[in-house]
Amino acid sequence: MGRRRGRLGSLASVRWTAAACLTRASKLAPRASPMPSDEEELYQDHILDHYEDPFHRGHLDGVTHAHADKNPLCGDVVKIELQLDDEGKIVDLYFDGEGCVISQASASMLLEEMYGKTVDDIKMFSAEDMLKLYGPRLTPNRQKCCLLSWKVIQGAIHSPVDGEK
Amino acid sequence: MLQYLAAIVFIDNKAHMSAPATTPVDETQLLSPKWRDDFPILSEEVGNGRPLVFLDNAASTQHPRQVIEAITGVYERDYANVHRGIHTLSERSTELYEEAREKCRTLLNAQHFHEVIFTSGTTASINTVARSWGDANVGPGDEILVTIMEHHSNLVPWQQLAARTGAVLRHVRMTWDGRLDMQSLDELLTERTKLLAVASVSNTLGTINPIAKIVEKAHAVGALVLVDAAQSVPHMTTDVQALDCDFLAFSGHKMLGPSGVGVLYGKEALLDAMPPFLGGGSMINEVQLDTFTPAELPAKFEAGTPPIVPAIGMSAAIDYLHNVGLDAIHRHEQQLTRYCYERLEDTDGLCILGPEPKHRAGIVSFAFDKIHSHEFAQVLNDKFGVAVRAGHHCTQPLHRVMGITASTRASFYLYNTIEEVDHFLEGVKAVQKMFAPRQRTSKRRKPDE
Repeated sequence: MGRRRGRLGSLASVRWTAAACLTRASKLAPRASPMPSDEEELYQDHILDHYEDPFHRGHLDGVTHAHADKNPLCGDVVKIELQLDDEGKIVDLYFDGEGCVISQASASMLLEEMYGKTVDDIKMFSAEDMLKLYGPRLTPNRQKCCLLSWKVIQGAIHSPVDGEK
Repeated sequence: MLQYLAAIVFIDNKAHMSAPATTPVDETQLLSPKWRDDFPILSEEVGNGRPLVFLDNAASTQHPRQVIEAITGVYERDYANVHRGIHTLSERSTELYEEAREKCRTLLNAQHFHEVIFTSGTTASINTVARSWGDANVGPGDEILVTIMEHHSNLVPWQQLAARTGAVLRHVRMTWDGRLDMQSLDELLTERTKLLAVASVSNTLGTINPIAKIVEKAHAVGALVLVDAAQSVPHMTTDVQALDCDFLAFSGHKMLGPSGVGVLYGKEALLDAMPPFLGGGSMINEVQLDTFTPAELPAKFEAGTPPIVPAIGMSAAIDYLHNVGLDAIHRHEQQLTRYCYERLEDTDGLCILGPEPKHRAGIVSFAFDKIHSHEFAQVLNDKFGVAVRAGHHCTQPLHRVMGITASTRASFYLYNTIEEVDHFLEGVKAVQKMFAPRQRTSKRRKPDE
């Protein structure tokens, strides 16, 4: 961390959290896509792509489970709708919301990642996995933006909509 | 609500119709950049080696060497608890602590030394009045007036007071351009009004409210006035006797001092009649097993060990501000604000919150129709080394009535320069360019397509 000295981001708490995340993340199995080469660049092209042309943004007909939450710090809002079958397979999923690039792009990335998977896959997908999926290293405040959709999807699997079991 | 949305659109359109003329900077009104040399942190580098441009002064300000040395000096030579020991260090600490009180009295031009109560900050000062004066004097059917531009710290304590006492909270509206609507104030001020709580300067809009006129109107119906002066005491001359306000609150950390200390000013007669709020050491005269008698002012409201060193640090900050000159600081910030406002105003899709420069202090907040304030703050920091505030700045209701959830805020102080404002403006342009839509549709392959 020596070379990061003097940045605003090197406050003790920030350094601790970032370091802790990296440590935990490094224990995970290596993913197919390596960490982005320019870790300082929060707004990489593929992230802006997700922001401008999101995956499955809108309303889902046949929704069985849904949840919404917001980040009071900045007013980011994310709602996720799931259609689950009896075996716990995700038939389809959609999100909607408004807020900063990180909150909305990460929701799009999460849905793309979970498309065709199962409830168990969602349960297994940790906060660290979410941060890693996003890519660029985030300070604790921006991690909240990135983790909003992750929190919402974790809540959604336990939130059947009216008329569902 | 539509009224304010319309205001935003209006400001926006105005900016499109004609490029506003810019007023030349009056160099004679600017402070010398030599003051910057007193602030060690200003030579810090952020965001990969970029020189720091600190434009988050409405949240908290930086510290000159003189304040840092005053704090270190107490710890190295004078520190002990105040008002308690007979030993040398306690005497020295007490003398410095009470000297800080006298400095605050002078700063506010308060009549009496004991009208200055040290608290932990503006929030604690306002809560002290709400709890002590409020609980003793407000009852069902009474009305408390606040304005919709208040910081949460001058809103929530009054909501709590209303809930405790059955009083009604009413809100003074603002005009389309973000100034206090004096007609609304006139309508809401009645003999039922017990207190009006108002900010002297809005921490989001930068609006300077006409406190003396407001106090006169409130007193005419027998209401008291509490002024949240956190954004004005550090930046311009304050005279509580001229304003005739009943209570006034401010914080040390927004005026070059340390965090953890603030002031509650109250008129002697009011403070004398108020019951103590926090109970404990220092605030007592005599304690029996079942009863106590409170101490005289100001100790009555300073239970427990007070913020000794922060108060002494604030004392050094007041010396520093007097040395630079509060009127000179205000003039300097007016120049920076006008410069920034006139150049931002000309930006497509950007809407400045609040009134034109002549009605505002050194605060410029803006919202952008397509880009979230977090993106501005992030890129300004990472690529330009500029620290600004993004979010709701503890004024959620104000943002809500303007139809937005967040804004980006630049706020100036005596050490900021025109070059720094230029740097900030350059950053804003870069953010706009970076997040401009690029018709990305269908560039990315989707797994289900």
